[in-house]
Amino acid sequence: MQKYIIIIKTTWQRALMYRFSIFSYRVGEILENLALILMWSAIYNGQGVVKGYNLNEMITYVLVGNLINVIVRSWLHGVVATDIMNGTLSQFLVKPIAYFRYIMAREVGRISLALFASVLSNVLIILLFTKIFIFNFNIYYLFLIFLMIILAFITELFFAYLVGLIAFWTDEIDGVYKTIDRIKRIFSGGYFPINLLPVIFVQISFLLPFAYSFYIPTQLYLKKMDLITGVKGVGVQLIWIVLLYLIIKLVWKRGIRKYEGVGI
Amino acid sequence: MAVKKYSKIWILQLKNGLMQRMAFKENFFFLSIAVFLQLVLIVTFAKVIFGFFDNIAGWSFEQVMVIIASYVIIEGLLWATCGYLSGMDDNIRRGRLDQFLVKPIDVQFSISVGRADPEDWIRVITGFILLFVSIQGLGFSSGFLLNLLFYLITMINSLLIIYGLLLAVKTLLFWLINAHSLRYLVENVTRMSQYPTDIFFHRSVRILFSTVIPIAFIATVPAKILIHGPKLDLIFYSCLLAVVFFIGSRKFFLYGLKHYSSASS
Repeated sequence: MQKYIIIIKTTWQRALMYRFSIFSYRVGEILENLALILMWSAIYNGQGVVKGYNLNEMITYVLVGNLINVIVRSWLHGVVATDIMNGTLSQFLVKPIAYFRYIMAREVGRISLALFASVLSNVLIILLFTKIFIFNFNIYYLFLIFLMIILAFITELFFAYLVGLIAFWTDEIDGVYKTIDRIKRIFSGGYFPINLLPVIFVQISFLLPFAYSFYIPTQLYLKKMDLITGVKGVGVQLIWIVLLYLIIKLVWKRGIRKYEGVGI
Repeated sequence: MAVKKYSKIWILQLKNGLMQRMAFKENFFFLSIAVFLQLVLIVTFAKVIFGFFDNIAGWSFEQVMVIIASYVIIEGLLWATCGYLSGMDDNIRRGRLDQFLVKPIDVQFSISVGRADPEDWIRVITGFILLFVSIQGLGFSSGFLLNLLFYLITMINSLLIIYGLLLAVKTLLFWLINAHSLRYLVENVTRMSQYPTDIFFHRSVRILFSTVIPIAFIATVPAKILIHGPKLDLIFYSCLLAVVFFIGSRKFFLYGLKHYSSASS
């Protein structure tokens, strides 16, 4: 356990070397949220309810959803792909630490710092919109959302790791990652609640892991989804985590046979 | 003579960029799909909104499509021709700017065209197709050709404004060294221009987005000119901002260059 704590601390130190980056990312997030809020305010313009959402609910959807998305998102694919392409993966094959565990620990370190800063900036925006924001203090809903966020974080981590492993077979993974990212955004409800789309989209989204990073926890927060459906959703997430883990093991086994360590 | 020389270099760089990308054909294919999906996302968003509402701040669906198309074209051109100046980050951070400093061509030009993302030409082409379809929906007025001419002028100005803003922000890298987030910040700011800037109700916000960060002049103003006809004050301010941002950013860049320190070549 000690070695993983050291990895997390080192990641913190590396990230804090360039503090301006942390600050400007937060400013970018705030601007993105503000733009969406202003746009929805202009769209509603005094009109009442759209498919069950009034303006307050839509703004709460945007703020809560973005806060959750900031917590769960991962850019691990780039790190993994770079290690494979540059040959730096080789050092992990001879060290007494599994690469998978090392990279997970590193990501926990990176995300914990980003999380702390992002939560602060998102809470600041929420405070600006206190009069409009809908607060939910129901302990059962909050617990279920918290559990869903942790599982969504693990799912995103595994997914990003899997995309990174594609580098065993190809020299560039940027295109694959960006294509998957666009598909994720469509099915996660990041731009707007998925139930504004035809029913088939909602049904597909429930079966995929992406909606659990934005849409579903936000629906729970707004109490537009009951707890039983939420628990079923947790079940879907657990299935995806197991499935992704098995796929990772298989892909790693195949990939490491192809690995040439070019670049070291 | 100089124009011919720089044009030749630029075309060679574009060809070079395409060859580099096509070395990994599958990746180029997926990048092109990703670019296309991004456009699908934006248009779907607008379509969903207009399924429930008549207008956004007084703009109809076709008019909003003109704004979106204009934004997509501008952003696509910036990525396709100069890679959104992404190359600057690594070159400054790793001290590899030397290769640009010793060449007998302008450093700013060299850095700007050093990297290009050819898959983003798909964004430009689909942007123009979207624009054409949107205009068809609005119908052509008698003075359309004049509107189109001034639209193209203001679009060129938009390109210069965003390029200037981007260059000015990237120049900060000479002091900050590692700040990948700067591109993310500029993208988030300019992404707001894909919405009609009339959504910004507050006067102070409108002034900010018309002067210091003139996102109103990126897509909304060209779209207004194309749809409603040329307005001298808007055209004048568009040209003025383009000149100010382009020249101002160049001066700032050259100042920042004096603070560059190499990391051995």
